[in-house]
Amino acid sequence: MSNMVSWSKLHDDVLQLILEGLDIITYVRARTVCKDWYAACKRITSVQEKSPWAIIFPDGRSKCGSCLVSDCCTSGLTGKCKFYRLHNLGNDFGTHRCIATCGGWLLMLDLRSSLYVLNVFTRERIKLPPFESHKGRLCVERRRRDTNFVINKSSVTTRNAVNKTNAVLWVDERTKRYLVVWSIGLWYMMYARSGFDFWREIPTREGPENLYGCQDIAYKDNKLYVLSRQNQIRILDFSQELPLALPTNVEHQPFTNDRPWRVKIGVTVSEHVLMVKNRLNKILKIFKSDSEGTSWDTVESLEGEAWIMDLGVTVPAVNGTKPNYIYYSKDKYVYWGDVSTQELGMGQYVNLNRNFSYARWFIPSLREL
Amino acid sequence: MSKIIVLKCVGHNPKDFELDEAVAVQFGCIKDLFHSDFDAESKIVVDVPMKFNSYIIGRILEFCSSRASFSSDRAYWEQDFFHPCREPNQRKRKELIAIMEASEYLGMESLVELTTQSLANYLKGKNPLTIRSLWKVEGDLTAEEEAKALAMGVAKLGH
Repeated sequence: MSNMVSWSKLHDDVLQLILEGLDIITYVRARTVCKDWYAACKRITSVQEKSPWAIIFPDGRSKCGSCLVSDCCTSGLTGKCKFYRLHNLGNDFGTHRCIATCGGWLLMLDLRSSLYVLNVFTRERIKLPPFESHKGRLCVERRRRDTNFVINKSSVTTRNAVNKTNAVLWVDERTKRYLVVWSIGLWYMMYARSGFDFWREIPTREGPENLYGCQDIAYKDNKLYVLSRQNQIRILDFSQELPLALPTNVEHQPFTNDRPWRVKIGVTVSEHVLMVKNRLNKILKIFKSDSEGTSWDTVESLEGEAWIMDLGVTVPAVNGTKPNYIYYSKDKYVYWGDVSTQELGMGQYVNLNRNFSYARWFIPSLREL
Repeated sequence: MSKIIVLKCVGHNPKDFELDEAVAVQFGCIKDLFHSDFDAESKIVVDVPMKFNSYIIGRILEFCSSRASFSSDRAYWEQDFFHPCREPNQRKRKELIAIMEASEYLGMESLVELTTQSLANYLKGKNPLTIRSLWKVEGDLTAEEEAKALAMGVAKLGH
């Protein structure tokens, strides 16, 4: 063996194995090192992170067309968090609000016109139907600075709707087919999917009364889980063109809602539903649906999984993701903590720079062009 | 009669390594030899290709035998064995690449994974210019290829 080992002499298979072990940002950079490395990346076809990263968005007042991402989970093992800036996301990007993510895709709310989907790595955009296309009770009033949503006699501006919003995004990395479900407040939900020219309402007062309303939504494997006003779960199957309500047998209401506690749900790897009552960084209680989905049990652990609340799902705890942890974000801060301690510690102070404000957890992924 | 597997290393520093079963079963390519019908011989000699010298095989065997007995904090110890947190010098990198290639030859998947992950970690956070200068790789993309490669992710080279 010569003394000057050159990485360019590495066997193709070996090079590919090394590149497959890279985190997503280093992978994106490694593509531009040389021809051999670029060719190896093309053979890899897709990259999927296994632990959550924080994505930090610009302050609405700044003309910032970039965001920051950080792998706080894995770099926590070796000490410092690294931040990477992703550029060229659009001149108005700073004024738009991210309300959901799926892999490297962001669901962005442009307060003046519409929702759109943006890939934070490739900058590809998927245009969604305009709000006016809506087939349902929603009326849209356009104003100079923002938009007013009117539902029956109540109205809310998009600026305020953001605080009462729950959204899920699903994008198939290969086909770019998408599904977006957006709920505003407790009583309004709509969806759009590839091939639709319009938004469709999902009625929130259908079926038995204990399933009315929509406090929170989560999506996994073609199923939308809706947390009703009375803390029951309604499941809608989206595998066909129109959503189909699945039968549900939940018998009892685990608790009554008392403010300021709020309730959020998540779907586990084995498709049980978790429900947490929390306020900011304090967790009050966690419930899990039993295997028949008929009742709720109080649980004190997530059985080794980690709950990424911004994604509405749990993930296996690998690669720096800690088992039985909740990853949560609110405004400028991202939090993480062990569920058994009932309190989440501040994982990362986001306001490093006055140009950046809110943050979310996301699990980036990328498919080769 | 218990079988013995001998790894015969040739080349710069020739050496023979005798493996007991606990160690040999960790290698995908030779674990089956323990269960084969070699009644005539209780000692089986496996020739190792010249490019894997005795030092590298020795490091791998050191890892295997310690791993068999080490129980607590295994993950941390495995990481520490290859010093992933420190910036490696040329010699360490060379050793790691050799260990990776040898463990791939010997069919030891877990060690392949550990070494490739350590090597991947050395690249982490570095921009393409730094990678090229540290690891002696020539940047040979054409302007058009570079533009295509850059279409994804960070806009500026060297950022």
